[in-house]
Amino acid sequence: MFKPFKPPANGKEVTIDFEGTLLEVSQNITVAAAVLGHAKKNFTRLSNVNSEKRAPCCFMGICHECLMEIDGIPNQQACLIEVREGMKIKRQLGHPGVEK
Amino acid sequence: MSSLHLKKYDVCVIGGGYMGSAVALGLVNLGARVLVADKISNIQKASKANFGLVWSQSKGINHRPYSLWSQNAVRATRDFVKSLEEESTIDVELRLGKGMIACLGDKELEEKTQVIKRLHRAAASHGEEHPSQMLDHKEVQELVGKIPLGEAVTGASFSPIDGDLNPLLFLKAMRKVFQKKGGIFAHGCTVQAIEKNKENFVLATTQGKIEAPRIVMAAGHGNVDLAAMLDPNNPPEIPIVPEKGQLLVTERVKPFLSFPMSGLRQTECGTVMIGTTQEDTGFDVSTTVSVAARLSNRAIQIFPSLSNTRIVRSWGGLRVLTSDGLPIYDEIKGHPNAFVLATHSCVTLASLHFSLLPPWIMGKEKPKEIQPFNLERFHV
Repeated sequence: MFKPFKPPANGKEVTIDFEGTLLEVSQNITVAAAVLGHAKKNFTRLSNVNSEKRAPCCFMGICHECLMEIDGIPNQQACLIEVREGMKIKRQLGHPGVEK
Repeated sequence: MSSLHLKKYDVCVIGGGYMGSAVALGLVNLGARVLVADKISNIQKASKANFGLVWSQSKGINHRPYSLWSQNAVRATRDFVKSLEEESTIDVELRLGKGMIACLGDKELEEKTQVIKRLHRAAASHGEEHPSQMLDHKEVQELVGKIPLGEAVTGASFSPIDGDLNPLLFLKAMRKVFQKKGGIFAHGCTVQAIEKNKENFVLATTQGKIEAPRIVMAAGHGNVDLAAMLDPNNPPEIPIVPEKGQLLVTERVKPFLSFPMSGLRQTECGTVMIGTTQEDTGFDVSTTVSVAARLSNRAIQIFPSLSNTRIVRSWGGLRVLTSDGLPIYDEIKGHPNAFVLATHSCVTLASLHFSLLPPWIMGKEKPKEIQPFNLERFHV
């Protein structure tokens, strides 16, 4: 559904783990872009309020629709974080409780 | 919006925050032609920095009319919000029926116990009952549910009528219904001068001239300058000062708290709002690390498990505080039909601002409930 509108600057790729699936993605893109561009069923979280599927909307840190668990830490804004080699990403299914 | 040049209205309300919007909505309901002039401000407007409490339990400790005014407003909120939600189709996330102020340590518990006793005595002397009561640690734990309460919590005051709502949606809903019913909401309209001709006030604004036989100043801190426009050589004194409040917002977490605990409430989307301070810093609304640390520390003492929850935002806003903390609802002396309205509790009191102030503004007798909140009391 989503395609890059220009080729990556240096052509380098990193490998990330998205819910157990290894994805080869361009360096210097955000986790949100990686999830939308490479993973099937492109959503990043389930709403805490009504369990609806949510996906990145604003891509600039405002809407909080892209919250994901990244390297074990929940509530990360996937649109503000660049992919790194070996990064482990999970969809956030509802919000974490206060007792983590 | 097009120029308002020489437009005539029955009432011009200056200020479109909670006060102006609630009163303007009540006025259009009475059939008046109403314009709300809402300026763009370079300071944080009080109505955009609100915590969202609908709160009576700590109001009017030494002033029974204010205590009653607050309680009656809270009791009128459900019906007001119900019709507002129906007409606006906006859910303002109102929750009423539980409101708590936690006490940390024995000193806070003792002070709060005395406050509640005083409210009960004041009510009893009129043969009435005050709804608030004190709870001990165990009773607080039972009400909050599963999340463990910190050991430092010695008890709480509790009101079975108080609650909270989403303040931004509440404001949006009032403005929407006001406009739906024919009211004109002029965004970015700053009043620059006020003159009088035979019948009307003539307001020079950034969007042209507006004429109205009645004007309502509901502009928070702006009321001081607006009142001075009536008589620049001898400006009517409006004793309002800014009081800064800072608050913190956490990341979204699973719902664990279903009612507000004064400075601690969880919104429907999962964020926890932690507030708030009472600071005298003039018109400075900057946030400070020391305050953030103090607020966080207090929240963690109430719910220790919050220590793993991250803060994502903080902000400061300015309350509209009168010099005695009570509201002002009055006609300005020597300037009939020029009204000034101001209070820091515009969410709590909105239901009565909507229902009781508009008939008075349109010429009916001043309701007896608001007579104590005149301007004269500052000149004794």
